[in-house]
Amino acid sequence: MGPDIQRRALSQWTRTTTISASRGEILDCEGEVLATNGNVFKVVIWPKQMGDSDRERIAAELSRLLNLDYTTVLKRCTSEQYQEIVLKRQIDAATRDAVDALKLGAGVGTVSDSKRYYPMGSLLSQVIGFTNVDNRGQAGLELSYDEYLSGTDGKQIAETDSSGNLLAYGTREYIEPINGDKLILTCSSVMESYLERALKEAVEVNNAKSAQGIIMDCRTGAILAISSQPGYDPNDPPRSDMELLNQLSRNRIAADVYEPGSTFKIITLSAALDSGAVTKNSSFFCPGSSNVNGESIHCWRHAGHGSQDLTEAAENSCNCAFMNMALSMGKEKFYDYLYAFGLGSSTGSGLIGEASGIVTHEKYITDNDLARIGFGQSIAVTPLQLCSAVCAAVNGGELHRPYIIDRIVDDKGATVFSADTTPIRRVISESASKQVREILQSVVDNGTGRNCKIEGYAVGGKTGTAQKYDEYGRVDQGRYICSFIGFAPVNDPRFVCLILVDEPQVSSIYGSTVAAPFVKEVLEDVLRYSGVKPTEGGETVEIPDVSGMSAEDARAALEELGLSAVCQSNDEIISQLPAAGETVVKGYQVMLFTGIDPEDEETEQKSYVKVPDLKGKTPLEAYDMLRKLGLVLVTETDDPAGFCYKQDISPNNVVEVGREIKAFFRFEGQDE
Amino acid sequence: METAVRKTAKRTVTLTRHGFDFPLFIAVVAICAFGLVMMYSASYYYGITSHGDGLYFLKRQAIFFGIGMVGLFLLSFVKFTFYKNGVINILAYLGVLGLTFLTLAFPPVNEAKRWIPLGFFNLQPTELGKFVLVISLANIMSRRVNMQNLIVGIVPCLIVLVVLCIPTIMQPNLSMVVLYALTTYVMLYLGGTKRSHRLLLIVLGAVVLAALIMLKGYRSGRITSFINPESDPTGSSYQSIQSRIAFGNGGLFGQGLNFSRQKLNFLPERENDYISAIIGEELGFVGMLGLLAAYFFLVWRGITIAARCPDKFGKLLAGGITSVLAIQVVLNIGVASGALPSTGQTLPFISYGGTSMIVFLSAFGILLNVSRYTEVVSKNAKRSDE
Repeated sequence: MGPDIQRRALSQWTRTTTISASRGEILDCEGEVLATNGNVFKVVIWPKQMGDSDRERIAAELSRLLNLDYTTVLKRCTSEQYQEIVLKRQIDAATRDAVDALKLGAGVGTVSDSKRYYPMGSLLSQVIGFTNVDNRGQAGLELSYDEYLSGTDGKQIAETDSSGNLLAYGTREYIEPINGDKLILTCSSVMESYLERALKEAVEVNNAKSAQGIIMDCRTGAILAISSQPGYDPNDPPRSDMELLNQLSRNRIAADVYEPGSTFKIITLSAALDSGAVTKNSSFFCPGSSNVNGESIHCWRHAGHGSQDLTEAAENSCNCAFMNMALSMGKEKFYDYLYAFGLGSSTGSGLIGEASGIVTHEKYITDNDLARIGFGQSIAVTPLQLCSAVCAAVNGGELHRPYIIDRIVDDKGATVFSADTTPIRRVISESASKQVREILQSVVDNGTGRNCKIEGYAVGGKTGTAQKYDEYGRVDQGRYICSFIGFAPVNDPRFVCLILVDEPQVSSIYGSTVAAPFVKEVLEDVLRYSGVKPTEGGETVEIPDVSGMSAEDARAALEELGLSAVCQSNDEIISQLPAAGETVVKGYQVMLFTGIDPEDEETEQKSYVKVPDLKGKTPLEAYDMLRKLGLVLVTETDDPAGFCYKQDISPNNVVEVGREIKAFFRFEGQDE
Repeated sequence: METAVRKTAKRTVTLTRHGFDFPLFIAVVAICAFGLVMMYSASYYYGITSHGDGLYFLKRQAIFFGIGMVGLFLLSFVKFTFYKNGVINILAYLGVLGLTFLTLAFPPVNEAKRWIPLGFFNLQPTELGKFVLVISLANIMSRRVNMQNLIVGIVPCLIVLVVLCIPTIMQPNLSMVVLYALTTYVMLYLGGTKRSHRLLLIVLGAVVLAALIMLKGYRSGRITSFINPESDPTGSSYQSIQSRIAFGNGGLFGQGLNFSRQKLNFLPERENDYISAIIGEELGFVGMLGLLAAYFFLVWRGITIAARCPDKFGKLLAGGITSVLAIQVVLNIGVASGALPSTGQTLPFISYGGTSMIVFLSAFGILLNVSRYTEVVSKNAKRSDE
């Protein structure tokens, strides 16, 4: 057969049905599911296999049941161009049954489809992103790793007669779909929840526009948590408001640049120590301003800091001292360090929309600019760049590429890609890094970072308060970004946490008051969660064995030793964390576990939720809403399409989880 | 040959009856048997989808075949000179003409009024008309008229043709008109007309055909889609494209009996006008050659019978029957293979269709009778006779 005739013959003899590949899941580093798929269905039509006289009836029935426009459906039913058309995606099982029950012939079918679910809701939403109704990634990792996640659709090719009826003796070819690969992130959903909680608090307490935060493992460059608040729920992104959606789904940690202010002094300090421009014994005098090329640049404290050594200058966050350091290194040397720290270019983290920051070429800057860069002005970085650079400054001097994808595993479990720490270059020496750590610890212990002090842990950090600029590049009075970058433990740093609070509206606008307490909160939780034992400072006590005691007695016994306790109920204690004999710092919170009486098990586990208002929802939406709350949707099976107009338990009633909610659906204007 | 015919006419003919022409008879039965198998294969799926019975078409065709065989036997015993009778001939001609007009009174099938519904089957009078035409022309030409003369020889023949064509074109059934005309042309050739007259007839025929095509839009559409099948693949070119797919799928040796894909209702009229496409798909090019060889055998026998018949009427009768068969095979296979524009002529002895089956078998009964009166010429005697 000629190729043309052959093509025509094969296309008319067979019917091809697409079998969707299941989209790969996204997991956190502990295997917690961040994105998965739910089973739904789709309605598919094969226009050529509809009888000419049936088309109008099919279009009428389908448009009614699926709530689509009749003329559009009819147009698709009469399409000559396509063999197969997906009419509607993501319908629920009840609607699928209703479509099948219409018995519309060989030209209409229902096939399984999938819908993306994000069990953790808004957690990591800017990183993960979301998909469209066709299950294609639209933002975040869902978009940038779409190629891996989407897999390859399969096909079923079946022989048919001219009306599309399958042949009794015909062969059927089944090409199995290749399911998408799984992404395993370096992020921990627990740490992420600590960070997001702190950021939400920071926004609320400071009456701020937004807050961004990142936690990195400075030993490897792995991103452990990353967030921008307010966020959104990827299960239901605000698709109708594109501008809002763009704003909320933007991963601002990687995509937005800002003038870092004083947090940048860590970079200047590191460079100055490593280059030998200063030593720990260098002394600085701050009269309140420095004269550079005839221009007077003020220190933030106009009264000046007087005479101070290097550590004191850092504790005071003295601008004059850092101008001095930058100028003494000189343009060329300081710029070498800036570039070595990875500033001015994208970190290569693979996060979508990563910006490279603004580092004006040294040819075009004056000494005045150089002095300003010394304390974090006249330079723009992304929070990710800054955090990554600080990681290098404190981890012993080596810059690692930040990364968020730990592994990519295919459907069969084989590893497709495995990320490892990628050391880029040594930026400063081990000894310089050690000195930086000591100085930064001192900032937290004695200086501007006091609000980040954590009982029992050695923490280092630096505050920052930066002015924002308006669209003409002028300083915008009253608009600030307050930030704090902290790390712990100081001797063997693991976690670096940066939090930025955008436009706080409180009386005292300093990084030390606006951002530092939240970094403290996050670092404390993270250190405890990852089992870093508090060792330094504070009085330590040995935990007594409280098992067998009543909860009240146990709490009393612990409080006597200067510990606190949390406990689920007032029953007998059967277990405790940490175990008896462990040494902890005073003030440590011991978790107490009580036995659960088998009789009470049901009541214990029963929790109560408020019934949502289902009015106007489609069955699928209602199902999703109830499922999220742990409730079960029951529908009248005879007409499961349309919109909800009645539910048996009215909204805002409190019911126990697992309760069935009966809902009634109909089309608008339909008689009851 | 023209001189031979004239010589024969001067002689007093004595017709001696001899044995039955078994080779021709066996060939006809063999083609019919093959036809039943192929028709069954082609129609099985359609029978299931349209009548819920895969054997529907086979059963009916078997009955038609049985009736046709009775007709064949009976007519093979009726001496062919019976048809020389002018009254009988005129009655038969007027009968067919009347029946053809009668078709116009019945509701159309596929926009054409070609059939008279008889309950059990639909009679297609024009099938009958083919052979009534042959008999009528043979009668005219064998009645000592000067075929060299345009007015006396040719015009009466043309009148017979044209009158029969009037209701046929009203049906409308252009392909039948073409078949009538071609048969008439061949018979005028056999009857010894002048070459110049025949050339005139060719020009006249071409002009009339062109006019008839121009008259109806769908006909020129068929011509357009014949020249460029891609112009309307789901409309007027649909059949010819589907037919090509069948032949293409068959290739050299075919997909094997029963393994046609196109018969799954992709190819319309698969058990009828396009059955040769299904044969091509199942048995391939080689199978089609075998089938053509079988038809060639029939034609060769028919020509031999005509050549050896001592009677001029018998000669023309045998030649006419044979030419109807040959023209129709060429038309059917030519259309199916895309060599000719789409028309609707059955493949003799094979296509489904009661009238066609019964009439062709009966016509071959007549041919078998003519065959009993041929001059038996041994190989040695033949040379001395010349």
